[in-house]
Amino acid sequence: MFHDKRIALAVLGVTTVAAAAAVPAFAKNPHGSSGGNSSNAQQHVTICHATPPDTAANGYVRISPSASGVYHGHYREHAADIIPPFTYDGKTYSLNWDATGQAIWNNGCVVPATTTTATTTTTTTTTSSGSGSSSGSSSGSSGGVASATETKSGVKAVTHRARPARAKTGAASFTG
Amino acid sequence: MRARRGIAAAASASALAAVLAIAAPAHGKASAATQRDPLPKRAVVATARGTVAVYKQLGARRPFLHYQERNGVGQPRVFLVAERRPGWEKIYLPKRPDGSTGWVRDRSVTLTYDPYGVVVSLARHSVTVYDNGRRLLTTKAGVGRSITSTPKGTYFLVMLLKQPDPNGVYGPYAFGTSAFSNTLYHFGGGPGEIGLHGTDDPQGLGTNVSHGCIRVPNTVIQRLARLLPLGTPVRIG
Repeated sequence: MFHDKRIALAVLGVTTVAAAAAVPAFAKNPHGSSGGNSSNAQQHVTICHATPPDTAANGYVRISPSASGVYHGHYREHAADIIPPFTYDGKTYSLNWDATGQAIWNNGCVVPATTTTATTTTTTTTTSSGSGSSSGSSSGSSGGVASATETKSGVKAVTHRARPARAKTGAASFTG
Repeated sequence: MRARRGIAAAASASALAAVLAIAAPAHGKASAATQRDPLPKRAVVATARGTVAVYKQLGARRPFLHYQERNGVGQPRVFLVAERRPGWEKIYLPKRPDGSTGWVRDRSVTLTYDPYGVVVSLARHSVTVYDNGRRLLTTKAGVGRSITSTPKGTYFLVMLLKQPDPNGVYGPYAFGTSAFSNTLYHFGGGPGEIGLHGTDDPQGLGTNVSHGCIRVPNTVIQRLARLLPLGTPVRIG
């Protein structure tokens, strides 16, 4: 009996190690609760729930609903939530799971003071007058646009996606 | 069909060029570099939190301009971010001359990312919309005539108006952009603002037909109205 228990524990240990190895590093939950990938609706997924759900202006709350709850209540409804990859109904979903989202998730759903992304892509933002330039560059200029995936040290992290515009009814007076 | 394939091939080529431009080190002349600059996969959009003070230079003591929290039609005031520094954002301004920029303090705006980008090709008479760097759609477009040309440059969407008459000259929806006509300083009661809208003249799509605005099929503008946030970058070239 004792021998059987030892075998069972050993098998369980091997299984646990194998399962841990199969889960991507970014999906491991450092906070103790079951999180990361979930293979069915009964398993729970640890997410960063945004408050309010569409902007996260007041930060995040770490919660672990069921995969079904995450899909129906958060993935489909809350644009600013941070949801690691999880499986529901045979499909894998994630939301805002970029470098910034992962940094926040890994930090216990607290926005780090400064976030450095793993992306090394640099977008040239050269302008005719250089940094600290004044307004009024010439017409026809083709300037750079800042990238949200390039986060320099000290700049504010950009974690939330812009919402589609809400149209106002009114006659336009553009050049037509 | 051939024309569509041509547009798609051109878009693919430009997308490839964009990718190569990202991968290439940032050297060479600024003008050449900026002309090849692709739109980022995720642009940064700044939304006003109250009245926004705009400074000519980074760290300047006094602002030279203020923008109200809402635009002229009551929608959120947004800006496209050109460059980022700790505590400061360099933004494109919806004012003449086209391409004007200024600096705002981080705390005066809320920052979001926008995965969409609109690229207008005046030569090909096309509009291509990208989502996270991937081409979402390409459509024929009517652009400005030679004497009322559509200004080239980097701009962004500033407002969205649902038209009272969906069969009118602007179609069902009209986006206002931060671009202004270089020839028309007043038009139809407005200041010569360049719009992106539908049309009641589908025959004019694919030609130089407008007073500077960018016309697309009504089905396309309806789709874009449901999709694009204010602040989405618009690259005209």
